[in-house]
Amino acid sequence: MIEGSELSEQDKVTARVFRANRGDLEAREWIAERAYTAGLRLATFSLGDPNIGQDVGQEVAIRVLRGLPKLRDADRFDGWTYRICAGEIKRAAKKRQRHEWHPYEDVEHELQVEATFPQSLGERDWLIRALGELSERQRLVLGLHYVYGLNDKEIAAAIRSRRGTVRSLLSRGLARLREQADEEDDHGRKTRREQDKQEAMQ
Amino acid sequence: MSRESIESSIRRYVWAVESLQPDPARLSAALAGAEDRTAVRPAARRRWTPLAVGLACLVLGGAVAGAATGLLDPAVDSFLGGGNPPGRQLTGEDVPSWLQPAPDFNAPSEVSVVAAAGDERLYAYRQSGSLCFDYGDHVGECRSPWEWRRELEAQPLFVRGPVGESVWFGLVGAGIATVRVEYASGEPAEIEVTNGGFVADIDPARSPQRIVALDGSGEEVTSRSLAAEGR
Repeated sequence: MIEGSELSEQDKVTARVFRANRGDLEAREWIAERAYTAGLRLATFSLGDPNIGQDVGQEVAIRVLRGLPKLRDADRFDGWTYRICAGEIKRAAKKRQRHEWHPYEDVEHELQVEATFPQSLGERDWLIRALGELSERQRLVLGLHYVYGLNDKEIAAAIRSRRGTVRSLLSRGLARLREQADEEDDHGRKTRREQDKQEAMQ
Repeated sequence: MSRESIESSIRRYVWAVESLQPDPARLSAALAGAEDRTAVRPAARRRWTPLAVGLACLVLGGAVAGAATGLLDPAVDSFLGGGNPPGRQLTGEDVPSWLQPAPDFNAPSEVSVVAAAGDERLYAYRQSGSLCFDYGDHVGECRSPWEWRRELEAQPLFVRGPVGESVWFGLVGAGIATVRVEYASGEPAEIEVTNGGFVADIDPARSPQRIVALDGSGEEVTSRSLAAEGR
């Protein structure tokens, strides 16, 4: 297969998978970078921490390179990579939950998180917390939709699921985010009312 | 909050996520890490297989799980088995800044320098049940003792790099005394192994080709290609 501008993105991926499996170092590096980037972005989207994203990206790249010779259908490379990402994100989330994950929790780390997400702190923190309340599959589907711009058909093909299931995961995920935003608003209103009451009593 | 405002909030968040790029040093480490397991030489595999079978028999025979296997350097083996981090223990100001006690940070109680070259150091420490190796101030890895044992016992020459300019960090199996870096031009460089680890400051201008693990008598035990890394 000759690589050229007329090739689709999928053809380029397939060609590089073949070349990497034949020992082409440049193709191998390209594959590693693509897999690393997918892990980095999807993990940062799901977990809200670019440092953990880098850890996940590195692990995904290693797993993809090691598993590449066993990938039977090179056309399915991206979907296969996304599934590896999902597994590594799950592992990273569990480690973080069990306090076994040790990103360098220093000022530099905080600054990096702040620099990555320039939107308001409250909005960012709320979103990260709200995404954390969703199921792994909902987060993965939302990540593929928003980070990679895949539609429901493409996501279904990537994660080997039915289109209807993907649509349901997307809409339920967004609905759950809206519910959480409403709960937050209610809580905010209640807190303000209580503060007003206390001030009036004083 | 409306669907539109949720979506616009997500899109602002995603805009930041899309700007993230892989850390070049960690990408190189991933390429090297992937090769570690796939590029086992047949001779090396033959050498380690009887030991692995022996180990399996010991475990099946009721030996203590996780005990010293003889495959690892004794200092590293002891660390994996619950002992002190290998090498020179650091205290006070000598502990690297990112491992110093700080609010909301579970700082490790013991940090050691396994090996050093110039300003670059291979650090080891235990943190919340995980064992960690930091490669200078560039990047580090924390894993469970079991995961490290599985990784290190699978290969007598475990390398990570290049990080920084052109520095490679490594851990070696039992009996390996030195590592030799071979270049496309000029004399090879020999680096002494200390406490089961080494730090190699490689000259990228001379096109490094191989890193070779040597036993006490200077015999080659195993090697890794550096040419594949494009440095």
